[in-house]
Amino acid sequence: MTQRRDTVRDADDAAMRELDGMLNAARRVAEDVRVPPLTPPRIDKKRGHGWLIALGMGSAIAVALLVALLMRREPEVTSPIAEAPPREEHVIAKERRTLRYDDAVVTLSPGADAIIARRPLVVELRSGVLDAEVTHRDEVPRMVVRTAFGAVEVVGTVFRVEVREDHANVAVSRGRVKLSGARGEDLGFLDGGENRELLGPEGRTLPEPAPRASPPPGPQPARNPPERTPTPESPEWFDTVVAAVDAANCAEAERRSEDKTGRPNGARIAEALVAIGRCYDSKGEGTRAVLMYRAAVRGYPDTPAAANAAYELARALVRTGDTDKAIAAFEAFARTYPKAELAEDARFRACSLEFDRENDARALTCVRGYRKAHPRGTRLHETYYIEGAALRRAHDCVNAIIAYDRYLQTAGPLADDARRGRAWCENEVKQ
Amino acid sequence: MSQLAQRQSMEPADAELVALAAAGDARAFTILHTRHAAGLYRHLVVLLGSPAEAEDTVQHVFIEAHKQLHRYRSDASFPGWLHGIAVRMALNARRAWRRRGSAIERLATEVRGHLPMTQSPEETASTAQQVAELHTLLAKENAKNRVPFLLYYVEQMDLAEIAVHVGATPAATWARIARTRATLLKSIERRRLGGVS
Repeated sequence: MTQRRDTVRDADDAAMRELDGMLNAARRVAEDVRVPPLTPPRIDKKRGHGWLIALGMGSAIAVALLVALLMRREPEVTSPIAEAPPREEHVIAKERRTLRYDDAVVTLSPGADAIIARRPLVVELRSGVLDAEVTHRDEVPRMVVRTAFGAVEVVGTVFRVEVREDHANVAVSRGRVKLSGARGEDLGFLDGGENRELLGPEGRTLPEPAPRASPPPGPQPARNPPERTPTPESPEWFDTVVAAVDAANCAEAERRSEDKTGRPNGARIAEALVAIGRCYDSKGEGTRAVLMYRAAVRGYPDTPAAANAAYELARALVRTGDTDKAIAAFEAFARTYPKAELAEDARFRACSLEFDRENDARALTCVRGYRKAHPRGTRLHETYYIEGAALRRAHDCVNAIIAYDRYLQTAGPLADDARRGRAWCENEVKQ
Repeated sequence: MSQLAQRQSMEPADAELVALAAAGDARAFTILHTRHAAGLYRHLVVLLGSPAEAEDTVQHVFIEAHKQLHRYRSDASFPGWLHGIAVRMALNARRAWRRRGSAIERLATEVRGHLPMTQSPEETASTAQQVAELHTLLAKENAKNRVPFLLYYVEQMDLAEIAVHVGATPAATWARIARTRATLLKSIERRRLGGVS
């Protein structure tokens, strides 16, 4: 009896795999199909019903052209040497686009701009976000992602590269990548669960311990100049504070910032507080960093640096382990600066934190809110994983399967986990 | 000189072009076609499974759209509105689907002919075969079930959006999608078991 049930289950699984294969193929065709030259229909209102004749003739001509086109294309398809794969392809993704190569699945987020060369696989990511899942084989040259701020050589891993205006961010979910700077200098390795920012020709990097495998974006929500750049109108007060920050003497910078003599306007003070906060952050003194960011947010809410401070505050709270306040801070950031580049990321992080602490009801509300606010968001795909896993934990298996299916429609780093969750749910539903 | 020509440098929005086209500006309609025909074509390839039929239907959709331009609401997305017309056409395209039932090889050859050769010829052939099989299995389904299934699983549209397109509640739409999936799985299983014995 048990054997019979197992046989039936195996048949079910095989059918499901076959159907999934067909659906994946249909999606690939939808993405890759060559669009033929499409001519607009001839429409002339004055002809009255005469357009029907024109339409008939037009259709006949279109069919004749199509037949001719198909006949012309036939040899291309059947000849194995016809139309070799393009050596280099320029891709500007209008929507999330997944490209499959020999040993890599590369997903470009909407708006990503990349030039992709094959064998060896080299991606020049000009802007946007790239997610990749790579299985490295010794005999195949390693995949390389180049950006204006440095390069990532892939050893065999799951990772994300995000290019922003003034830096690139590399986050490794699993495995290991090798980093190099804009001038090719060796910047060492980055392992699973780590993030790093590549800051350009100077080749500097800011190591940043990641609270999750998912990558944090850069710390610049608004297009402001970097906080540490003194401007001609900046008074001596600001320069002295920044000098201490540059010397990594955070306590001295904080002491100088408390000096009321010659204090500049609020915008400069907020900038200085953010700079001191980052100084503390880089030294692992999260609690002091939180105080600095909070002072900037509360004391100078209308300044350009307040947005940076609000976002940094939320991230610092994650690092100090104060999840409740971190969620509230991310939500407050997204609410206060809905147009900021990082509002979407802040919303997603709030959802992710809710999910991590197994507050499933809130996580579900949160991901649905995210999708409503960002129907084309770059983290849209991941929200379906969160939804599936949260529903599974709540034993709402029917809806969990739907969410998992959505997640599994596109390759993602958590696909194995999603498949396991889905299988568990299928089993529950059958019983 | 048409009104559009004077405003060329400003890249008019879809809603403006629709207004001009409805007033008889053929060039505005041509620009709308240039902007949206390719997206519509991909959408129709998903729905119909046949690039040749998709190409043909793009023409029909634009002709229908031109007739209904006065119904377009400027606050709605023009491509979304076009897709709605395409979905309604797919829902009504019964004859072509029934004919399709016995034409799996022809469909596979046609799909293969429209794929770029970025994959190996074997992979391309396999992809085309799988798509042809999917659409052949779906040919047995009612369009009311088939269309939402494809929109959900292949186009990955939201359930609420699909429900609006097919004129049903989200719950009813989901029931159709789930029913279609179950039927397809049964057909595949039956075919596999038949193949084994």
